[in-house]
Amino acid sequence: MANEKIDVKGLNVSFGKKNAVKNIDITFNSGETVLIAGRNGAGKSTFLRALGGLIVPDSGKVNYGEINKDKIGIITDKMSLFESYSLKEAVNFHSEIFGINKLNSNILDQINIDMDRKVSELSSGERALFQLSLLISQKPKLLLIDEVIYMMDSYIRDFFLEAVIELIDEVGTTIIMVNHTFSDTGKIPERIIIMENGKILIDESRDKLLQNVKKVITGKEELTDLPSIFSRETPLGNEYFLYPFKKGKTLNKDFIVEDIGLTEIIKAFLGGSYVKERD
Amino acid sequence: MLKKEIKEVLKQTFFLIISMFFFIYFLYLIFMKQDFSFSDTFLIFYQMWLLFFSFFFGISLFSSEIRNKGVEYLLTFPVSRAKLLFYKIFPRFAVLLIFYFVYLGFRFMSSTDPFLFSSISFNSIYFSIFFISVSLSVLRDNFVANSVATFFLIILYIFTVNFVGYVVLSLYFKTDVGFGLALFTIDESFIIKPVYIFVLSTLLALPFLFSFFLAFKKFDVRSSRNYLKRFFKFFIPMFLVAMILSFFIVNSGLDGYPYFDYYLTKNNKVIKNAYSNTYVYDGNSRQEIPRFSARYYSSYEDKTFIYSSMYKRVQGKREWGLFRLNKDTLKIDKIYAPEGDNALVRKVYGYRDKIAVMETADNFYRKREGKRSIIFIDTGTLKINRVKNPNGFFSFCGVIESEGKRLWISHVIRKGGVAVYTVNEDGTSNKILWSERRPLYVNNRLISYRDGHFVFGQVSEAGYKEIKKVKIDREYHIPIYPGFFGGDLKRKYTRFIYGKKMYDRSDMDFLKVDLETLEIKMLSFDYIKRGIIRKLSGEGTLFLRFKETGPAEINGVFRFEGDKLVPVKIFEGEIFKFWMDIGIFNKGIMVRRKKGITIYSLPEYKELTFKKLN
Repeated sequence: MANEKIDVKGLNVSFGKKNAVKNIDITFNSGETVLIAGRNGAGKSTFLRALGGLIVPDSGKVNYGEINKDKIGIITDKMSLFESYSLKEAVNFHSEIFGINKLNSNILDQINIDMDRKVSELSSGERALFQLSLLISQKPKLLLIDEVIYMMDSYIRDFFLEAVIELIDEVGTTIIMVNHTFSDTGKIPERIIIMENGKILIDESRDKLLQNVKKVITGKEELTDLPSIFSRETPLGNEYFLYPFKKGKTLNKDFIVEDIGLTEIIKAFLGGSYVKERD
Repeated sequence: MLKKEIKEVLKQTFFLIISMFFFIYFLYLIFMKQDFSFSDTFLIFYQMWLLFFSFFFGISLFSSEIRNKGVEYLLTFPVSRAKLLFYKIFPRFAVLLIFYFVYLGFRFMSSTDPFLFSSISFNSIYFSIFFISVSLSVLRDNFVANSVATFFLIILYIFTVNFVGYVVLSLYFKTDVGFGLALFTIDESFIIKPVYIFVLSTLLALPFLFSFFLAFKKFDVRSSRNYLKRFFKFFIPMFLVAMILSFFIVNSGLDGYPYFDYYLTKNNKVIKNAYSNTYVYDGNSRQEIPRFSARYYSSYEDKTFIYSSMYKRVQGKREWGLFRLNKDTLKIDKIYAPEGDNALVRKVYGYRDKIAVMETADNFYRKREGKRSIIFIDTGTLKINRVKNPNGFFSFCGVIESEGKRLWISHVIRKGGVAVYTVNEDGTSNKILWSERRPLYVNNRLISYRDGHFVFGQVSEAGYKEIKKVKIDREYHIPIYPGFFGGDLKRKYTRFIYGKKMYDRSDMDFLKVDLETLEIKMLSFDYIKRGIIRKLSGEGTLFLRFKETGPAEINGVFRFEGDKLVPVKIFEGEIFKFWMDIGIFNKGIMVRRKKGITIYSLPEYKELTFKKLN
């Protein structure tokens, strides 16, 4: 089987004096769906651009294994295309550059876009969808999606996510998405990466994360001997977010232990910046 | 992708060509129409426009992606950075090459040199400008600001190229040669082989190109500052190395002689114009005098003095004056200074005791009609007679004297030919005829050219009277440039004048005009394939024979005697560069060799020796 793992070693990217990505080592397995989350300025988009070759790292390397460059698709928040082209021209040009025989027009058919319109005339949502249809037609082995999903209304977003799921099923594409929140991405991501200050705070599978992070409400009591990653006072009492939460650990019977969703999990990690980058 | 680039370049080229025609037509209408045809104007400005092409094609390498917000998209293409550059640069460079070959075509077809810049200057910077512009084309903050920055970088580059030339030449001559002499003028001086100038300018342009390639390897979507940082990291050391190398290269290319003007006076003294001073050789000794520019084609010499129009730079401005050098005492006087910041035309004409020079307030861009004057000066009393000259830039070709009054025959270049006037010393003038070529006045005959005929006529106070018309092959060229006679309008009697006809660049015939019978005869000599005719003021006509192929280099001097061409000096095993090595003067021929200078004095072509002359 072809090696389609993506191996990142010692990746550093800076903007002037600011290090946006700091010494990241990570491996993405073939066919994985990854979500990178984090605050604004955490380095997510820079990391994604470095993965897509739009940024040449100051040091370090991205090894794509046997994935050719024409099998890497990237869509960033800039949704860069040649604006003066009509959609028809853009399709022809893209097909020629990436050696595409036929455009995957499933998505476009759904929203009924006039192909004589100029790229510059599309709304953000339409544009994201159009670019995605170009990328999907490449049958990419690696698809990098920056924060574009939030630009779409729920109607378009559904098409978008459906198309991504189809791609995973059909081609086994590795998909790496960047987003502030999980809610936009539905249940697609199976691996979650949380970034802060150019570093990876957490890299866990979605299931493990859901399993290992719990919220404990203690009333007025304080928790001192448990691995809390974030705590806060609420009208209901003190809330502690525990990670890793170990089953079988004896807790005060008055404490309430809750499962929480991914959005809250990420907030917890970022709130305490994973206990100041694990002390 | 290459298809897209080719399409884009063709589109740009189309618009550039259209704009070129409009731009040149605009210049033609506003500034040039009076004196030049549109095709002449086109050729004059073609080089300038090509330099703009070169600049524009370079700076706009990524403009379509920047304008279309497609730089990120471009970087996602499955091609390496090197290939990307190839696709971008190749079609643009190809178009530049095509334009360049068209330029060479124009140059080859044009019998004169109508272009604004010398060939070597243009060749040296045409491609360099493209490479410099390319090197900053990826800056995408502001196209106008980038263009201005690139423009200044180009200026800096040209300055550096000249600076290298200036320093090396100054060291070579052991004197400050002046910045104006540096690179783009030294090619005219023959001090250095043109190829070295080309190598020098290319060498100094290469750091731009290499730094660009190296910096572009890591070009990405980050800000331009990142790119510039990388670019200058490579550029600065490379440019310094190139500069150091270029000093050695220019130095090794200096195999000619320092360029000095020489002038052989009628009393057989040699005046050598060096850069900051002038030397006079009288055979046995050498005397240094303040700078005095004596030139065969522009000075006028009488029994005692040589008159020259020259300028001195005073606080960056040209201060013109008409000077005279006493050939015996070697004293220099300024006998006329023009008004305000007016200039004098270089050429000084003389007729017996009167000299004439034109004063002008014109500059290249502005023709100020009515702001030109003719200055007549009596050489005995130095009395000045300044009269208005409404007829444009003129050249004098003769003087008619009748009943103590003098009529100066002048001609002014107009579209398609020249207008010929008689000018009184009170400034009044009278148009007497139209000629398609410059007229010649000799033996009291005015020879003009019209409708395929030589027209022989007589000029008097009463006007012009045609005597005879002789049909002449249009291709025949008679060397009747007034310059060939020097500034002395008191022409000696001449029986024959000679012209030439080039069949191609490797064969020619002659034509002899008998000024007594007004008959024309064709002459042909097997042993003459290429060369030029030089008319001596009343001392006969010389022919400088070029070697049969290759550059115009002289291997023999001949004298016309009736129907014969008599060898004066055949240089066995020696070859001399035209203009540089052979000087033709009223009183002799000067031949410059590395070991020294030999003068052959007229009329017997006797060899004269001058001590310390080099």
